[in-house]
Amino acid sequence: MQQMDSNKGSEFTPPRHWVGVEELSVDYWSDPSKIEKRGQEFFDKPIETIEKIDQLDKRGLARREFLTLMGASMAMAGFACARRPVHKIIPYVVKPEEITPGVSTYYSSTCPETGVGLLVKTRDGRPVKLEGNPDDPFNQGALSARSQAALLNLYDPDRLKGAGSRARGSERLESKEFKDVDTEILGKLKAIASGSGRVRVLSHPVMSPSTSELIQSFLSCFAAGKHVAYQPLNDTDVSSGQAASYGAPVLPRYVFEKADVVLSLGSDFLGSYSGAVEAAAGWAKRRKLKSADVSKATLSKFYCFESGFSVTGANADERIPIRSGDETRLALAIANELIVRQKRSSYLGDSAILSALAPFKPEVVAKEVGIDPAMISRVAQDLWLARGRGIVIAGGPQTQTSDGVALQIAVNLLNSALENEGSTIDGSNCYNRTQGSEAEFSKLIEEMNAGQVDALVVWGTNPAYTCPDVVSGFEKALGRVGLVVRVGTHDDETARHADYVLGEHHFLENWGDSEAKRGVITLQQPVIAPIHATRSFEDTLLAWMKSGVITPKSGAALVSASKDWHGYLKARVGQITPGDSFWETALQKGVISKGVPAPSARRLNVSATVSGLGGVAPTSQPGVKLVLYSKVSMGDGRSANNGWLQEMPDPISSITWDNYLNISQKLASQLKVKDDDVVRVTSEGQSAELAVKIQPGLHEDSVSAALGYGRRSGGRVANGCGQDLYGLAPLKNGRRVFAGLPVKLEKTGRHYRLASTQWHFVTENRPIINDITFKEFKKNPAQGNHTDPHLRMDTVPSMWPEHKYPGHKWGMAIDLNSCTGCGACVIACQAENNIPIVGRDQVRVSRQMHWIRIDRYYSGSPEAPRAVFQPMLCQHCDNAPCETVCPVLATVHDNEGMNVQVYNRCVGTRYCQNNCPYKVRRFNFFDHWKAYEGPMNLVWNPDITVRTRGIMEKCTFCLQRVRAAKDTAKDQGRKVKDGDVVTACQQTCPTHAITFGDLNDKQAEVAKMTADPLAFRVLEVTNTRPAISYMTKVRNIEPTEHGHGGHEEKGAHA
Amino acid sequence: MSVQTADPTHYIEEKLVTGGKSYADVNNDVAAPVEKLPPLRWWICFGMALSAFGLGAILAGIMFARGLGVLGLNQPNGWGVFIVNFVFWVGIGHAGTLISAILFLFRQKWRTAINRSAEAMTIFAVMTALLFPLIHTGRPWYAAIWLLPYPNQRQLWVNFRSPLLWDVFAVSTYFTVSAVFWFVGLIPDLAAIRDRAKNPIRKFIFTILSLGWRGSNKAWSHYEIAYLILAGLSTPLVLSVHTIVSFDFAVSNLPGWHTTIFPPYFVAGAIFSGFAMVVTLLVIVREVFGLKHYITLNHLEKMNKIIMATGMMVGYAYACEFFIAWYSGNPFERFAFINRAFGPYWWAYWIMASCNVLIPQVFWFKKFRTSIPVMFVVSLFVNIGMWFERFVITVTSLHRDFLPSSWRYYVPTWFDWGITLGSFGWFFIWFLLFCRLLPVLAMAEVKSVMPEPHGKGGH
Repeated sequence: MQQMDSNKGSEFTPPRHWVGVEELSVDYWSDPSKIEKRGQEFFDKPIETIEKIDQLDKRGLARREFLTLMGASMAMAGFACARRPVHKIIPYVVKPEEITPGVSTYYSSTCPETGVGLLVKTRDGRPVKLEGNPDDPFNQGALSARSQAALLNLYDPDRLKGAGSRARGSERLESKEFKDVDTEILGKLKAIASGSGRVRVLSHPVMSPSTSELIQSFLSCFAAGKHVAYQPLNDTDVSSGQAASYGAPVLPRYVFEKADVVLSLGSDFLGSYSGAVEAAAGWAKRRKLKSADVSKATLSKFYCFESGFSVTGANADERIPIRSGDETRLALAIANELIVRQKRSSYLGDSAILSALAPFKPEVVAKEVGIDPAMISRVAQDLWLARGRGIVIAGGPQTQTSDGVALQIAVNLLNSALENEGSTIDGSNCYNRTQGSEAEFSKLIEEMNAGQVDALVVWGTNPAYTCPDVVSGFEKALGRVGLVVRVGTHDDETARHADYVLGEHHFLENWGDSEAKRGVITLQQPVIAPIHATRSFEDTLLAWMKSGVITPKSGAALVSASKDWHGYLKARVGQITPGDSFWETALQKGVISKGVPAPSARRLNVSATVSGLGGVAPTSQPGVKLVLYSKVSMGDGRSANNGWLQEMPDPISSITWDNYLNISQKLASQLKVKDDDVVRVTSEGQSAELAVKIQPGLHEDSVSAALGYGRRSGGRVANGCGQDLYGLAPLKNGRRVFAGLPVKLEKTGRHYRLASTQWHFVTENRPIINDITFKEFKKNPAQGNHTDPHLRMDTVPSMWPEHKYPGHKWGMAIDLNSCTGCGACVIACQAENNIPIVGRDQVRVSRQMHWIRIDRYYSGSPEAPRAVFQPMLCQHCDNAPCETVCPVLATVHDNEGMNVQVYNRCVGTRYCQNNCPYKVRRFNFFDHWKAYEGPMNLVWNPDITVRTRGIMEKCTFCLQRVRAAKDTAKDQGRKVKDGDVVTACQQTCPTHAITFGDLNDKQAEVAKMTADPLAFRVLEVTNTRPAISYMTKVRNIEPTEHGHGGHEEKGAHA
Repeated sequence: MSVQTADPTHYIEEKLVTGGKSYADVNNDVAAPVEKLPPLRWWICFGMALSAFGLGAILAGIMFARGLGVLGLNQPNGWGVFIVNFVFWVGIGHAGTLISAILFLFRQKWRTAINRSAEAMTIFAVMTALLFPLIHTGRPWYAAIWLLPYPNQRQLWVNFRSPLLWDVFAVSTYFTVSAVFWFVGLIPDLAAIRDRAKNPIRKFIFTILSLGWRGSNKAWSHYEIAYLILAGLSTPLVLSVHTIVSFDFAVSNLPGWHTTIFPPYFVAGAIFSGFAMVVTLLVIVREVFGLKHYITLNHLEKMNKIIMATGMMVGYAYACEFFIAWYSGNPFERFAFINRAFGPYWWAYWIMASCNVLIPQVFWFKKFRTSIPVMFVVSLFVNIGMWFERFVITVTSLHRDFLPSSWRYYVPTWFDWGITLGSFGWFFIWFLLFCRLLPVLAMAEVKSVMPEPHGKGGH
């Protein structure tokens, strides 16, 4: 009470209950720090401690506080230092109708390079996968490897990001706004328009009717404007030959699905040929066999004479290696055999033809070319028996010899004599790729050199690389042109010589149309807003014409009426069928078919044929000849900056990232070189240094090397990959010669390690590949199966309870007979499944990541081997060896037969990889995704995890696609039916060699194929019970001369 | 110096300790290194071991930062030098327990001179071996935890069918039991050092380590029973651990791995390499620490005999593998073995065969098996040969398996070699520390095989 007394004032009422005496003091209640605490019911520390801490505040830390902080800091030390940046998912305020986050949208479009229709899969506004448009009569849903990879070009970090100008001879490109560049260019164009007006547009062949018209409008602004189309790998020989034989320079369509006998004289129609996807589909239709209709089964017969070793040759029933440059004489010898010797065809009575063929006696030519004369008569015989149902085909750089046009004329003569013309050779329903000859291009260079060109706009085509100075003098000639404008996607070789460089859209950012085949227009629509500040070529022309500085004389109305290229195109295409809905429907479908006349046999112009054949020498110069070819992956080199394509193993050599010189073992021994030795290749004064690849099946006097490599300024991926060989191909009389080049080879003593994905090319008599002849197939389709019947999957009893698959049991069947090895599936899988690019050095140490690889094996003699391709991917074994050995259960079996890999759980022991007999598991040795720079990250498919280092991955049977198909079926209230699930590899396969589906559904295509006696399992003896069956390869050859890869060998049965 | 007796069947053992040493000498000789500062030679060795380990640690650090791609591994060679090292070190670790447990049970008294250091070697070898399975994984930060079957709310479990998991249990059990066995054996000697200690810090440490050992009769009798039980426990582990390591290979389906002979073959090989390593180390230790009277030529000769015997067992296994490969009629198997001897890795195979089978044959001659330089060189060759044996098994089987399309040569990189060197550094760091900090001979046990001290001059 004393304390109470001491309190000042009477307003203080002490609490009724108190804990400590201090509560009875007024100070206690008036202290603000205590007032704050008073509201608190529970304290984490005794109140005294809290007070003490409060008092200690300024003097340092209390022991408990110190311990708390230390403990916390120790704990915090374990956390990352930087807070992860917060990314908020912002929902659309107004959601676009067609976008549902997480659901893909497909748009139809067109790849202008090849004119094939596309379906572009986009996710959240960005394209993530290209697929063929099934409505396109060209490709019917399939795509080549190069078209698949075009997606990555969109996200290429080396693309031009705007416009710029460059002082002549300078490296530096000065960035400028498009409007400033336009002003400068238009200033010059205005002067030119009022002067002599000699403006040239140099482009790749333009298959777009609308763009062509627009170019013509632009050129009409000038008194003497002209459009020149050029690309290095063109089919001008074919069209020139057609023009000589039949009058019109067309590129005929070859109807392979009707062909019983095919003779290829160096044409790579299954590989690098521009219409390969369509040709392969047709060809494969005649290669599919089913045991069920064995009695009425037919198989086409395919002969191939070639100087290199192409994918096409590898698929031939009989492939005969010849020396480059001998094709024409061989064709004439076959014609001689057919018409003169065997006295067949309607040209028998034609003395001009007979005398033209007279010098090419089959046995003389056969001897000189180094083949069996019986082969010539057999080919002629077979072709004649299948007259009207055969194809003789030549073309491509491999046959672009000095008498390449004569070869085409000889081929036309054969096709006409064999009555194939008008039946399997379709000259009316044909391709529209005839532009782009060297003749026009050479003339342009002459004009440029003569100072007769005031301005040159180079769009797309890259002659400074593909037709370099040593060949054409193009780069020097550019120096004599007053104004050089480059419109392109990269600051490439040609752009280095330009005054102005205008960055162009990728085709997925641009509108367009294409008429690659007569009467079929495919539309191209943008699927993403331009990533960079680029402008399409068409918009550039429109902007110039609409500026008022120059005015077009033709098409002016359309130009002035169109706001932009989109408007121009819409107006122009809309003219086909007036009405609003037409445009919308056409865009959705992607294809407008105008209909074409039925093919009719064209008459061979005999006198032109005879005169065209006049120049062919009956014998050739001896010596080694070089053939330059185009690869399935690289083409002419325009996409050399694409890592997917660079890393795609060549179907024949399995080599990535470089070109090389293919030579025969015999020539290699003569030169004393081995694989990877560098030799100097000199042809007509030009030379290049290439690493050697000893290739079985090459004629000893033929060496071959691929074009499209050795870019000087193609981008950071392209530069330094391989050697540029365009300089070796001379430009003579308006024709480019790529083959039959006399060549001198010298050993340099240096070595260069080529990065190959396959090092061992023989099967070692193992039960991996089954191949039989057609006759054997007719006798017993199951004959090819190597596996000991006692050790087959269906006969070996299981010691353990087997997996139960109550619902689906996914499986695959791969037809070795129609797989051409083209590699489209490899790139499709890479795009679909976020498979990283690893680079040359990593491929050298065998760390490529492709989930599907194409194994290639040879059989027979190394001089004339037979090749077989086997796509190899995870076999999704029932008794999967990988599953039992993983210590953390990161790879497990699901109830639908899939072997699934749990990335998050994987610790990377690589035991599964060791235990996989198929070696299809891929380990992430590094964080390869880190190399994906800038916009490249956008290419990742959001359905698939991007894998980090240290974990294993492998084919998932496109699990995400299975999931999507199930979801769709569920939404539609039905069961998943056969054909709903299409894996990425299957989708793009031009020959439909891959079939996927539910093995539990006995009506499913895949189940029927699996049950076919032709089907076999790889390494069935290991009792892994794979879910993938391969269909035996059936060759249309005589059984006597054939060993079946050694399956007679007893040892292979165990 | 054997004694003539009337009964010719009575076995008089050779003297295990020579030089007329007394019990006090034993204590003085063995405890001496513990009680003084190490000589310069030790510091040089320690410095070398430390730098080797440092190099390995730096390279391993780079490897962790960048990824396993710095190694020579590829497809199909998913395992390489690291797994070779793992099996090699586990194998080395066999001799110690064999000497201390199995020879103890068989009353081989000569083991007393070498068992301490052999056991230490075992423990350090297993510690070295354990590094490799962990760092060879792609994500060791997860592998360190996820291979243990601990209950967790994610309901993740380990795969008891995987031999790698068996490894985890086998090797960790082996390590634990070996360490306990070794420590129990140390207790009387630790107490002896405690009692001798003048330095208070040493006294303090050894007081704790000796667990209050008083040396009473009761304590001794308990102690000896405990030691016997532990020896009994360790014995099956000697066989089990390398059997299970061999399952890593034998359980897989790879030609060249998928072999039933692997368990005995691996155990024989492990004893072979372990003894070779013990000889290598003891030849140095007895020289450096002046223990020639305790670790006598007699001891070394016995070990050399074991080396020769196990070397021939291993040689038999090599031959047997070839026979079975031929006899099985399995073409994959047959190819794997022909490829082993005559394929691209022929050199590794013939290094293995000559080091392991041919070179130990010199021990048929007493002159050689009692010659220190010869046995030192031979033991080094055996170590090299056994390393290559594991290399041959691991790599030559992997590099050419079923599908020829994926066959590829394997070349280790500097990271592989550097980290391997680092593992030797790590092992020797521990071994050198052991030599300085603990009694390298089992003093109490050595005394038990010495003549009793009553009466001067002995027998």
